[in-house]
Amino acid sequence: MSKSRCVLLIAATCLLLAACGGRRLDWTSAAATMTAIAALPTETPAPTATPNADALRGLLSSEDWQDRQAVAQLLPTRTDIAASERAEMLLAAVATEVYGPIEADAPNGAYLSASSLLRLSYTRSLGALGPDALAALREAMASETPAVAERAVLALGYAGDRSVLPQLRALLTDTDDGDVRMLAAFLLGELRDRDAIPALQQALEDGYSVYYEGDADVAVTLYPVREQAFGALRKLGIEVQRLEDGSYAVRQP
Amino acid sequence: MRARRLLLPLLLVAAVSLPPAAALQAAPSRPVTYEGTLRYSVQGAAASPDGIAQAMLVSTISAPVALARLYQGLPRVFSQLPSLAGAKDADEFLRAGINVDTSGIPVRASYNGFIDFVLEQAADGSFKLLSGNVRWDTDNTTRLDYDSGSLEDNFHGQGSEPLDPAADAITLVFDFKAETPTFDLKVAIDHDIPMQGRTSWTFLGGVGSIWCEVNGGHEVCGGNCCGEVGEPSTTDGPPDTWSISYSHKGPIHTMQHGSETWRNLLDAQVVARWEVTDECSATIDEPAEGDTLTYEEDSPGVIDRFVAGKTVPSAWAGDLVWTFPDISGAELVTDPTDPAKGMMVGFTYTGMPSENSGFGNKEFEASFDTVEGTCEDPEPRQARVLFPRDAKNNPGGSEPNWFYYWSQTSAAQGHEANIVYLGPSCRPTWMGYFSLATDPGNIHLCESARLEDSNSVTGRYTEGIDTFASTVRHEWQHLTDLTGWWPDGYDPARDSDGDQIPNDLEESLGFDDTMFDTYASGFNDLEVRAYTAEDEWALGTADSEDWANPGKQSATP
Repeated sequence: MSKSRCVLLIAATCLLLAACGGRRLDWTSAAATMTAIAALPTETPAPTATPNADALRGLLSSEDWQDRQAVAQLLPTRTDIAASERAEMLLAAVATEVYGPIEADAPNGAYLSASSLLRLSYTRSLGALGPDALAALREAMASETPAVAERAVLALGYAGDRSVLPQLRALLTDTDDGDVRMLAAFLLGELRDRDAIPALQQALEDGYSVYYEGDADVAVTLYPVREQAFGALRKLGIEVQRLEDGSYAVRQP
Repeated sequence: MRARRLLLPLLLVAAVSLPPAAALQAAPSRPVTYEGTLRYSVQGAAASPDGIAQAMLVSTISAPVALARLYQGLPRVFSQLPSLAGAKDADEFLRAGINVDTSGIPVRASYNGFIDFVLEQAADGSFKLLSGNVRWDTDNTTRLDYDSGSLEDNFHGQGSEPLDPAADAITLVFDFKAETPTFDLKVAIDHDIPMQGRTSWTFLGGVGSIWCEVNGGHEVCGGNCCGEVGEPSTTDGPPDTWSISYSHKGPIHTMQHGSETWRNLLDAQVVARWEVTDECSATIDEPAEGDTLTYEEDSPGVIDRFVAGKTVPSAWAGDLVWTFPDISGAELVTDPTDPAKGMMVGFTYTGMPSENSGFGNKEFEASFDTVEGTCEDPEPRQARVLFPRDAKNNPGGSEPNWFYYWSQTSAAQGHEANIVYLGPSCRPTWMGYFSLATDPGNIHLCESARLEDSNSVTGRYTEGIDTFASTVRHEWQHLTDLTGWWPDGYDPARDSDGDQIPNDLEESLGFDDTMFDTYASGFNDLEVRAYTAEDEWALGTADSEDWANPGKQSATP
């Protein structure tokens, strides 16, 4: 056989094999394909739910103290919700807590009540919302609801806003809320307000007290405002001494 | 030269036309196969081979009608063959010629055959019988009483035998050139049908009788008449044979499974049900993927569920034999018992493990029994065995399950022996408790330590076993601090601010030794220290050991 005939024969054989192979595959593929199509999954999993603002707002009204506490501590991290909206939620929670305090046992080791701790959490969280919340807080300072106005001032203090120092000094001397006076004293010390020294010295005799029993079976009567005023004065360089009877005395230079 | 000029174009054409090398190599090294089943049942005339009663009734009534149908219809049926889909269509076409219904004759005979088969692709592209098996059972309990006598059959038979590709025929042919691709399935098999039973005919008002007793191929017949008893005669030979002849042609998308029913020429009811698949598959359906099996809350704890499998062909699901995992401390009972075989098998575990490690991922397996080798066993299926978190049906019995089992995990941080369940004595918001004065060697955990919690100082959120671990961390910090600082009991003289941290340690720990609550947190400095320590527990550390429901591994994905 000539060389060219060999080549033609090889080419024809290859073509024939290709045709045969394709037809052979066709016989089995159709039925198998139908089987495979029937087995295809038809459902996709649903995405995991994340509590949205409405859900969190609802939890702030929960009868469970832990729920409210958890939301208060969570909100500063939820930057997906506008700071102004988070501030509004916390300020509303403050009003709810002041005018309808939750009835619950405080967690172990707390010397404040559960309601006081909640208000404290709300206030600190308001101060931790960041610069975008400051406008909302300043607006809340003019609220007709005293509790809201007071907590807005404290929150601005937590945020380091020295423009509210006069308001903080006023809270220390004028408000009826012992917890507010305690935080005002603490913040005046943190912000190193020397103009508050007279008010802080006066606060060393504040009458707000709580009873506390600790793990070492030590029972004491605490004066939170006095103690925070004591600490603030020491931060301001004023020498103050705690006496054996629990009272305080300012050392005169 | 002319040949050389043709060479390159031809090579180019060949190169384009050749399938990829991989496709050529992908031609199966073993022939393509199909697997399937056929259930074939007949009820009525001539559905069973033996019996005087049946024979009389069929021969006098059904058979003449059937013959007439054949005589009238056969000349026409051949012209109709292209449009006939198979045995059913052919029978119905022939029956239509003689509109007589003989199905009411009192023949109580039935035949049920079940064929499973494997077809292999032949050189011509069709699929032919490679191997298979037929199982069958048949009954004939026909009785006819008339004025001067009676006819009675009482026969039964059952058996199975392998198919013989040399003698039996099952073929599957595809037609992809038709406008609608079709498949054509033809079945023609024979099998022995040994029967056991008796038939009898009493006539002339009892003056005479004929009887036969059959046992396989062994037949003894006798009779009497007019007071004379005939000598019984015995015949020995091979058992009768029975044929299943069936065909069906239809669109290819109906090939996987289908059924049809009709009356044959003798007006007996025929039912045919088939399944054909190019690939045998088996899966375990129950437990489902990611399933959880949670003990019930009663004591002793019980898991009462079932396993289920699915096969293609579906008829093979009953051939699955199940193997169940061991759960320490639990007794297993299955239904059916031994073997635990079937499409669905119930199982019950009674008793819970004493060790937390006894829970978790367990493997359920199934394997084929009689069709072993024809189809691959299904992949084993894992399911998580869990305990009910809030029940008290653990082997200890006095503490809730979460406390009993989580104390055995890394969440206890090595303090299992010194963690006490305080339970209902706690206040609702307390997670735990430590008292230097009353129990300096142990910490106590409350009911709430199993739930969600938000750290009152740091704000970190925990739930379940993470709350348990964080509470252990908190209370152990108290135990370590107070027993270390006050080995002889609390001394107020060393603690000016009354926060239970000695004066000389406060500054090094980040606190003011003159302040009960250095950071105006609402907690004394001792508590601030313990709450801060809680966050040293890395969330999720013990998730893989948590077998509580609800718990970290109880959700179905």
